[in-house]
Amino acid sequence: MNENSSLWSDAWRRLLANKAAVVSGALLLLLIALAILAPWIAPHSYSYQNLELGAQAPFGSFFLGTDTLGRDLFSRILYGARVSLLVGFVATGVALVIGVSWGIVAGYFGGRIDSLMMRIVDVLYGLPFIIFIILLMVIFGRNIWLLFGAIGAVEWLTMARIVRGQVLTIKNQEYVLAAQAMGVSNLQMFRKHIFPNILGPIAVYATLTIPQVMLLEAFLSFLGLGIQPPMSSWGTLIRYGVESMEEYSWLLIYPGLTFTITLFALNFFGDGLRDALDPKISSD
Amino acid sequence: MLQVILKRIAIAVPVLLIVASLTFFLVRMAPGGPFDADKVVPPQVMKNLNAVYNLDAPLLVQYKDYMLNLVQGDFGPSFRYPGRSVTEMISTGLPVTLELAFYAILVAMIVGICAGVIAAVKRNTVFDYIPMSIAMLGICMPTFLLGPLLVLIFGIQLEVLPVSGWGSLAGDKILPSITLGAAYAAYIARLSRGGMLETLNQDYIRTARAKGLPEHKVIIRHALQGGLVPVVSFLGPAIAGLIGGSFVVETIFQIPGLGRFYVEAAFNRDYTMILGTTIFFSSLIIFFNLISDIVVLLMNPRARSEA
Repeated sequence: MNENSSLWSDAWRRLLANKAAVVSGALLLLLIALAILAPWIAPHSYSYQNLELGAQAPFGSFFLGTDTLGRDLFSRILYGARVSLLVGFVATGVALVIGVSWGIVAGYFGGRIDSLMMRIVDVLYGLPFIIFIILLMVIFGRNIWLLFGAIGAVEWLTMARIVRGQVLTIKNQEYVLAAQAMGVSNLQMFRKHIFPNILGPIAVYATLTIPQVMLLEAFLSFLGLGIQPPMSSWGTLIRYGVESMEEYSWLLIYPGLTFTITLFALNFFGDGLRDALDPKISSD
Repeated sequence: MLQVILKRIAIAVPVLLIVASLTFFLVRMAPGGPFDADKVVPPQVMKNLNAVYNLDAPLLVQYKDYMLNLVQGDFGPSFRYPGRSVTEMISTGLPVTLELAFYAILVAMIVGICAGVIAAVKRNTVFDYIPMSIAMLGICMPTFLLGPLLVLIFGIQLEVLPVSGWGSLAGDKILPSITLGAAYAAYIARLSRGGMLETLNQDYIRTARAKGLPEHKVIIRHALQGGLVPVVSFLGPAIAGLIGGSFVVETIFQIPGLGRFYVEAAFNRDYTMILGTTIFFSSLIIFFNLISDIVVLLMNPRARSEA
């Protein structure tokens, strides 16, 4: 346990030394806090329409302006953050649960089970998932929980491959073989030896999956196939922004900027985490 | 070698069959019939409609008929546009989408490879940092944001390029191609930089330099072939992404391609059109994955002997 904690504290030190990752991490924490606190800190209601006001460039307490229905853009971006981040975390969670258990089972038991399970992953990899998600949204209605599930169900494949690879390596280490010889049960083995050792790669890949998932959600919402009104995500805000960008360009620019910066921060933080947890695999 | 290729093809066929069957049953599972959204029709008309579209047969018979027609390249009639067949719509939309994808890949390859190779050769200089930062931006900036921004800048503010259309106004193909290609240019830049860095460390490059070959020849004659393998293996999966991107780009720029037809079909619940295009896109993606796998095998002697 001691050695374990020193691995994590080493990684933590390396992460803190990486300025881009620290700034990104701080930015993400701030964003998450803002999203959670949105109902208390939003300066205006996100849904209150003020048709007399209409679309106004930033002024006074509407410091990002208002949309064509007179709704405060800043408040709408805050509430959009709730939906977008929720999709990011929940769908990544779904992908994690499926991918990690699939990978552990395949890697740990090996043999025929492994080749069958990995063959299934190979086949699924070849499928055009974007099209399938659209298909599912069309057939089963545009339901937010279905969206989480569908996106998560797509993103678990890479996770399964990574975890399986890790488990295969760990399985053949001497201390695991020793534990096996001593008759440690499968469950104990997972908990004590395998799981702590694959936590790093899982954390890294999960961080890098979140932006992909958010991008996918925004893509669907942009096409009008994702989040439906009255709820709005950053994807739907960008969609409205595009519709009215000729006269009211701020409606496109501010949500777009927020979204891009968030993706940027998530990617930098994920890269930093990867470098910190495993200096060996850091990409050049 | 031939064996490996045949094995890949042998996997592709059942995958296609699974895709087609899965899509067929999913679409048939959809709540309500294809004509429900329209105004109420008398039961007799409904019955005739169902008969015309072969919806009154048992599900398995419908499945058998659909698959048999599919093998002959017949995707059936469109539910939404009477008198038009899905095959017809695919064949009008496909050339447009392919042209767009071709230009986008062209933009992506030229910009991406140049930037990546220069960044690798001039490692840790401004020529490395600036293109790679732009590449990161290119990866993080989604197509559906980049497109409208380009339209806003070049189409509306500067008024130098048309904001929509395909082939009707001079220069209207420029913005869509750049929009679709940008993210891939960024990926390709990163991949070719990584591949080149690895290759430039190999012994045979040192040998070439030791022989006194000028640096540009070392790079062009020796390093590129190995350094670009990651780029080629990326192209197969990239096609899948390009199709997704074409949904967005064709919608933004109002291009009458297959991607826009698909999104429209999804909105209109044109089930046969959705069914047909899904199967068609899937085969396209599986086909291009196969091609890029084979090209990678041909380019990399080590993978060839391992396989």
